Amino acid sequence: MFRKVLIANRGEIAVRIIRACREMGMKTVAVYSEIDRNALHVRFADEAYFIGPAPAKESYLNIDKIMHAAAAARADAIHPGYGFLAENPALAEACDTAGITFIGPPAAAQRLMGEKTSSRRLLQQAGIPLVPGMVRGLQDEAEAFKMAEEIGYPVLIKAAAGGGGKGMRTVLSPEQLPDAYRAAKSEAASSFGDDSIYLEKLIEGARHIEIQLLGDYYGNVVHLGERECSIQRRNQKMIEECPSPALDDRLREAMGDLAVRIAKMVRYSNAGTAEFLFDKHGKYYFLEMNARLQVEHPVTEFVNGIDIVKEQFAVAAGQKLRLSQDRIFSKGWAIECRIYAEDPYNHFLPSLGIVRAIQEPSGPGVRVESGVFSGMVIPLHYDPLLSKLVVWGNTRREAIDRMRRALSEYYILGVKTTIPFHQFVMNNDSFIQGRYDTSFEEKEWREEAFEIEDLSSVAALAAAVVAHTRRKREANARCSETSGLSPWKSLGRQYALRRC
Amino acid sequence: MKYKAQIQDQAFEIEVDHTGEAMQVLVNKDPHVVDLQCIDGTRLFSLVVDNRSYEAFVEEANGRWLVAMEGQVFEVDLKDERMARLQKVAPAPRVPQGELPLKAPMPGLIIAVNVQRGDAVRMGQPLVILEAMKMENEVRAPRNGLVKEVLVGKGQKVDQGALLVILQEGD
Repeated sequence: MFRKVLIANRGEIAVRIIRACREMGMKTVAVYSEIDRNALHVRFADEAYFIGPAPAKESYLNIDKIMHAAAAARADAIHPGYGFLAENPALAEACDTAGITFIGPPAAAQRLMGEKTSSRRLLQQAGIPLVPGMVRGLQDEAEAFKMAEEIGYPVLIKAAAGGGGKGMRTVLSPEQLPDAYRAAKSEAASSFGDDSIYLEKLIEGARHIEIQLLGDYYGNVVHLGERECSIQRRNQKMIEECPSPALDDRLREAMGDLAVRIAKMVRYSNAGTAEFLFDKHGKYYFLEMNARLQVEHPVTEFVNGIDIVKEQFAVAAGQKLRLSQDRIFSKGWAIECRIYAEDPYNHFLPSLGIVRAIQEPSGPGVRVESGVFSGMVIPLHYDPLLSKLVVWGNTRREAIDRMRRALSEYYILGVKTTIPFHQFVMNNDSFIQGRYDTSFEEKEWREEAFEIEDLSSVAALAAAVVAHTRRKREANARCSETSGLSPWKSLGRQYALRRC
Repeated sequence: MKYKAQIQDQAFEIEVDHTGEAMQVLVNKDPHVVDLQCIDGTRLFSLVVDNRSYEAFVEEANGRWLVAMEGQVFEVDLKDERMARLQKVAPAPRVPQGELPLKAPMPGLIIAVNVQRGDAVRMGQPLVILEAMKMENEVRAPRNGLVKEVLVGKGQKVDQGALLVILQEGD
């Protein structure tokens, strides 16, 4: 396989990748910015290289610095994780030039899928069902009005180079278009360095379902089933499950085959995800390909028993896929909750601070992918994802019950987290019955404090008895401190001091 | 001891009696038997309330109490009743104004003079150390100010009420 792998990322995903490397007997190299010296990925890795100041542009997004660290460490592979440089073909190309293996799809496939309008054009010609909309970028605002009229409101403005909900705006009516146009364009420019945007029909009440793909250099591609990712806030995923409660075997096979067909068409290799929208009438549309390891890959791993990161290394090293489609079986149900440092009671705004204490859940069927530790300062420079809590159950019902149990064991003190939101979802009827779509958060979540069981009187009691005990102990300590002194002396001293 | 706890708009009156073997706690007049154990020596507690078992992280940060139980985090505003009452009735501590003579609180020996004429001093800063009955007593500045005059020196014996230092207004 590889001798030494540099992980061009931070947080939970860097830790996840390091763990796979260690199990496979490969040395690991972490890179870190100024504020990540104490981060878990640095502590877990065999080697660590400083790559610059906190802002991602000067560290984790700086290809030169990463290639420099890789050369200094004599790494023979680079895993980009997700986010940062994962879908930037320039890193894959830099690796090719340096003779280092990039753990991901070839730069050409990345380039093709990363440019949404050109990939839409290609796929439309091949007869792949797409969300109705444009296959090239908008020229100006006037054209946006014209195209929106043609497609029919509501529409979605999207960044051609985009992903992860950035540079995306919903437009319900023509009045909203100018503002949304400007906002999407500037967000696209700042997030992706490319301000081209286009329009798609907004499919209302749709579910977001994606197919996990795995391919090798020899044109073999398999799919590992689907993930349901409809619980979102601000177009960003919060909860994922595998399988989806909306699909039956026939649909699963049809969508899986379609995803494999697309991957083969663009000569895809390594891990990737085909994203689909699934509407109220059971119709599905291909949305885009995420040419990387996904945040939510552990739910697929749980039901298939396949370590996707290890498979990535194997195919990148030139091995043939060891899996054929008829030998991939899924068992049970998995759910993932993303634990963000955000305040669900205040519009999911980031919550900065120091993690004062943390206790992670464990026990049967529980997996925590974490980049957080007690004493950690939550940096404002990066994604506020702290950890992912993933559970497996024999049935969906068992998985939900297990998630509730695991959430109740999870303590993170010092910053606000999305744990209360997840507790709410796991107790919500629509979710439990599997009847939900991407509008769930907007429709169901209320910011009034939600409590499964009213524990506030116990919490008040706890604070009072701890305060009481502490004060008693302090009083005792003061007594013993002065006990070496004669009581007359200490009394005299007290009197003397009182007089002055 | 009585406490007042506030969590958002919910108020609780809590009375802790720990004179006997077991801790008795009244929460809004409802009696409970409580056993509290600190697990990690700092913030992790096991709490058994009438044989119901809870685990809680309890932390005080800037006067606010954070209590995390079963995945939920509560912010508790806690005051003991005596403090609450005192805060209400006690006038703001009187800070002496103007020129201020500092006198020896008892007869003794000056073993150190820490300031000179013209020094700026902060409230609470020790100015003179006076040994009396083989104990060292610090004479501290009762407020911020400037040293107008130092009237004693090291090794000098003084009577009770002798003038030591005079402070004047200024920063």
